[in-house]
Amino acid sequence: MSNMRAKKHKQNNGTTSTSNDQLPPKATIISLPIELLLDIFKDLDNQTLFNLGVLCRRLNSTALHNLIQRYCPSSDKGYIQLDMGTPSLVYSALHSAVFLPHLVSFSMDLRPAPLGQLRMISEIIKTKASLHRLSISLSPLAVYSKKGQKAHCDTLTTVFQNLIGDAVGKGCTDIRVSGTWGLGYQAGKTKLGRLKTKQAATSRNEKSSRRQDDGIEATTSAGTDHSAQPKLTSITLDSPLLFEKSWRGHGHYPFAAYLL
Amino acid sequence: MAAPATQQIKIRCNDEKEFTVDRDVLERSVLIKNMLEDVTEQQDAPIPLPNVSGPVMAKVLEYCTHHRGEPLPSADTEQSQDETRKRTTDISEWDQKFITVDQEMLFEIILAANYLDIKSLLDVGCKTVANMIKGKTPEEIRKLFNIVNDFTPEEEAQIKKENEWAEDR
Repeated sequence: MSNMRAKKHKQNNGTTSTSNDQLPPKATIISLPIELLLDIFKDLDNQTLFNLGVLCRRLNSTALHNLIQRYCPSSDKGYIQLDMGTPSLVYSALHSAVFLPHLVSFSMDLRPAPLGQLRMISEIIKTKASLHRLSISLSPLAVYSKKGQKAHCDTLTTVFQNLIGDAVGKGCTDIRVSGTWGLGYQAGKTKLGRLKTKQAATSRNEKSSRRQDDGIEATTSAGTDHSAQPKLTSITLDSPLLFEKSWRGHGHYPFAAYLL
Repeated sequence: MAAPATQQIKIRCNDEKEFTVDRDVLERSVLIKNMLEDVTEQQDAPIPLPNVSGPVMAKVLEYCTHHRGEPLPSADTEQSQDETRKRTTDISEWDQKFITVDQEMLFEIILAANYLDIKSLLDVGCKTVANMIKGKTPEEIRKLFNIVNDFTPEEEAQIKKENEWAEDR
């Protein structure tokens, strides 16, 4: 045992080398310790980091991690925060980041609601094993309605609906959507109020339902559901027109099924 | 008038190869400098360097000899160097020729510079690797460094999908 220990010793760089009776492993870019890889990455642009990160697991967890960290410093803890200034390559990095399967929170400020980004976020969420909270800041669809962009409105609605579905599919239990404040607040309030009433009638295990100053929060309980899939427990909508106007014809909220 | 004699220091590498070197050359290494400062009495025994081989040490000593007499970076200058590193990947002509070695030696030099704590040599090595990678496609980088794809089939599919998705944008 002691001989075995004597034959191996830990180098200061974290790799293990053997004694003189065996050839040491060949030094390669992959065998460099993390602090040296980070030293190399300092001199690399985003695209090169991305190109490195898709080559192997070690570079995925170092190069892509470094790229994501440039824009999302809390990504280590599973918190992703994106805004309109986030380069699209960061979305690609998040999608390819196999070292980051679980997200605690995905937060985005995407005003004025860009379709492309919403689609990318949907694709990212699909690749993750779990997501706890989704927080999105969007412009209400009224902005588009006023401009007569009905087709765009409909597309955006579908994309947004898919995004919510993808998030819930990954076990997301907390969804917050906010938008330009004041537009259609009253309408949303009424509609959600009805939803809350319906919930109260159908679920005896409802924990609470409360109205917040800055929007409405509907809360349901997961207690009645025995399936493994976590249920959405909280959804806060501060962008009512997004739902109210676009889904008026449907007669219900597309994600109501998740709530009830 | 003859110049004062420089103290000679012996070092021994992990392959038993020994070097006798002027102290000021060796003191380019912060690790060795600190070791020498900790030793108060004159010692004839060579300083063991278990993480560096003879051929790599020979290259490191070539670098240290060329740069002997240059001021060592202080903590302040190290910080300002870090700030400017992002903007420049320039390497001096001599350093470029010096670092034109095969890949294995390049990475061994980087590891040795890190172990011996020779910041300027580490910078040269890291910048050289960065320059080799810049502007290359993933496949070119894979070929250059012979990087083995060790993703699972699921991960591979995820990354492949990302590339298709990126092309569509």
